[in-house]
Amino acid sequence: MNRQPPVAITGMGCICAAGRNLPDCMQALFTRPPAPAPPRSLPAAQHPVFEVPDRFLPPPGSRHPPMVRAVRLAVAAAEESLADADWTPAALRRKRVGVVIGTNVASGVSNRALQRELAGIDASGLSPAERFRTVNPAQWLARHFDLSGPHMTVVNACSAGSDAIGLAGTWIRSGRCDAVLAGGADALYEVTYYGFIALLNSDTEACKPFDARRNGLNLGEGAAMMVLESEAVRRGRGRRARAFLSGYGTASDAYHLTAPHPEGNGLRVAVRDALAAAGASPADVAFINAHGTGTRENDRVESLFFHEVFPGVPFGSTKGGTGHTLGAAGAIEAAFTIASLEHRKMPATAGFEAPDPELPAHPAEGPAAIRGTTALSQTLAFGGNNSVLVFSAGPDL
Amino acid sequence: MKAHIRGAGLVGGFGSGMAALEAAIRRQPEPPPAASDLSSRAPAVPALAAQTCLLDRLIPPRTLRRVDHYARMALLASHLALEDADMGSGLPETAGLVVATGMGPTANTLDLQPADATEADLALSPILFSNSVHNAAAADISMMLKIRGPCLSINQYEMSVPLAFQTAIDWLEEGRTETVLVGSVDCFSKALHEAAQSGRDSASADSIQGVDPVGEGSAFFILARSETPGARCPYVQHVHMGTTSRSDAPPVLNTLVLHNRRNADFLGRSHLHACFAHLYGAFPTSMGMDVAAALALLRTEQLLSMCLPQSEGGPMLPENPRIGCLKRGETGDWGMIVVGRDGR
Repeated sequence: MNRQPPVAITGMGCICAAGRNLPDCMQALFTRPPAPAPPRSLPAAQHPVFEVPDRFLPPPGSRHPPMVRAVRLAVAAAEESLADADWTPAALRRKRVGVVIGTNVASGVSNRALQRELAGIDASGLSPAERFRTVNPAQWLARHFDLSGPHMTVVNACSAGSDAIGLAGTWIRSGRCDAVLAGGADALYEVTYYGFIALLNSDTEACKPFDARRNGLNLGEGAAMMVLESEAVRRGRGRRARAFLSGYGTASDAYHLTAPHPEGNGLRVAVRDALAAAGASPADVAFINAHGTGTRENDRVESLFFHEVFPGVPFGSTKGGTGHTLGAAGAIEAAFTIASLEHRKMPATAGFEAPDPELPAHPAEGPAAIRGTTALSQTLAFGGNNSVLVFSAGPDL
Repeated sequence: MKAHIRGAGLVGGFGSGMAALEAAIRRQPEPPPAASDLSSRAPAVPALAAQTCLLDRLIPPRTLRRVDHYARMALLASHLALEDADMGSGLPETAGLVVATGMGPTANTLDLQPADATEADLALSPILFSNSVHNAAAADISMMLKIRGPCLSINQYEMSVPLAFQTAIDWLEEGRTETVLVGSVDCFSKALHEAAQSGRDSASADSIQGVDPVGEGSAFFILARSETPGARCPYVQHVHMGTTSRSDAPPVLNTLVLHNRRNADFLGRSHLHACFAHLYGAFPTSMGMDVAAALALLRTEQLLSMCLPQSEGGPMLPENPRIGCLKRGETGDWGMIVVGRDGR
């Protein structure tokens, strides 16, 4: 992997169970993360989740078809990120702005309208293409903000949000776009909810990443978006970068449909490539936002990997405060990583209390102070995907 | 940098492999048989279904026992691409993979998803759930072909294929990998069945006009970074994307544009064009099949000649033929993948 020029991030937005915007989320993670509860939308369900309160969401809008929940989350985060980057709708229309969004539910929930129609419950009047547009966050955001660049929805399961941000960097460096709105969005969905229970990966209590008693994940929902800009555009606007995307690496385990490689083979390659792209070494890394789902196997693989490759580097998981937001997770945690660099401290790993004696490395006790300006955010996904982002603090830090 | 197409594999209503597609282009196709999604009580619609039994000869059936039809099509096309490229020993371990899909494993997901969320199956099959995840086909391909480089699944309906090719070329240019397996897959489902019946969708518009049936299938290509021009290996010259709402227009090429029939007005008279959708049907990622057809034309001059205007001295074959594969979405977005024979 060749070294690549860093790409500026000028704005960020986030919505999840921890808060309706990124500052609120960080405040909650640093002080009092929310606790999960049984889902309101599935009355018979008992496994707890991190649901976004309805009052956080923007209205569904009057368009037909209306925005589905995942798109409403995406729009909320996108509006925050564009405002943070100080882009007005008129200014955006004068630039070639792309959209790359990771999601997991994508076409899944688009089928509900068809199922209801086939079951005779209602008649949506939607064609398959129209149904697709109702749930495709990249399509929605491009239309919503009248953006003229390419738009793409990435469906790489739990690493989709990281991949979206990494690919957005390529779109900027290639000159294809002046700016890219990139991130991830996912809403709770009964198929994934019961699917993780079927895979015995869902905890019946609050999740406990890296803890000796960990017994699975809690699902969550949310969205995070970032505005990436070319240097020419950023300097032309006189905007400060909040941070830089310095590296992106992604690699497959080629091992199992739903389990990580026991030695973390794909993760090693992804981290190696991400650091090479950033021109950095493990010694440069100030802290790592781990995937840290709270499942037995994921946390074991990551702990072994950190012990071997990043000895002494503090790491932590934020899923104890957000749940596993699937296609949004990589983007949400990327936003938390950058915000942590700005705060010069990382949140504690909510749910972690009892170190697992079988794991060689344990999360930092926190909130922990950060010494350094480079951080990693990594995601491991169904299908064996491993994606890693390297961020460097903005020049003002 | 040029992205050479080292090999191609595909499966669709015409059969399996490049030879089957070339044969289908040469002959008049049979009328498509009626097909219906088995779980639907709706009347059958004409559809071009893909058969994947050849895969059982390439991969041990035990390995395939949990793989559904959607992923089987993608696996078969991937294997055939390796065969076509004479890469019997497999792809390099660092190869990348990009999978484009319009609807994902919809046939599977539809069976899991009730009309009312509160009636969801509390005892969901873990295998069905695993296969319902949108990157299931990519996961199966990476596991079985031992692809350990970057893997990506894209779901942008009709625009998935040009985005996938653009991503593959980006990876080659960045030096992220030297070889990428890039392709498309979509399967027949209640959604396409309903589209064909209603005629409200681009995937079926031609079908309703009595021209092309709906279809399904998969097409995969091995793209390799190379600085060496070669006649044997056509290359992807460019991926264009635009939107009609901003008056973007596809470039005029020296040879031909492959597309589905409803694009004739969009292209205008300055383009020579041809359509093979009657061979593989209409579906969101049928553009992958168009790229395979373009490759077939570039490999066999006789096939290309059949599609070009005839003059007294024979067909007007350009020296360096370039063929565009065009897909236009209902939203006005369009994508064109340009394939050429000479990389100079």
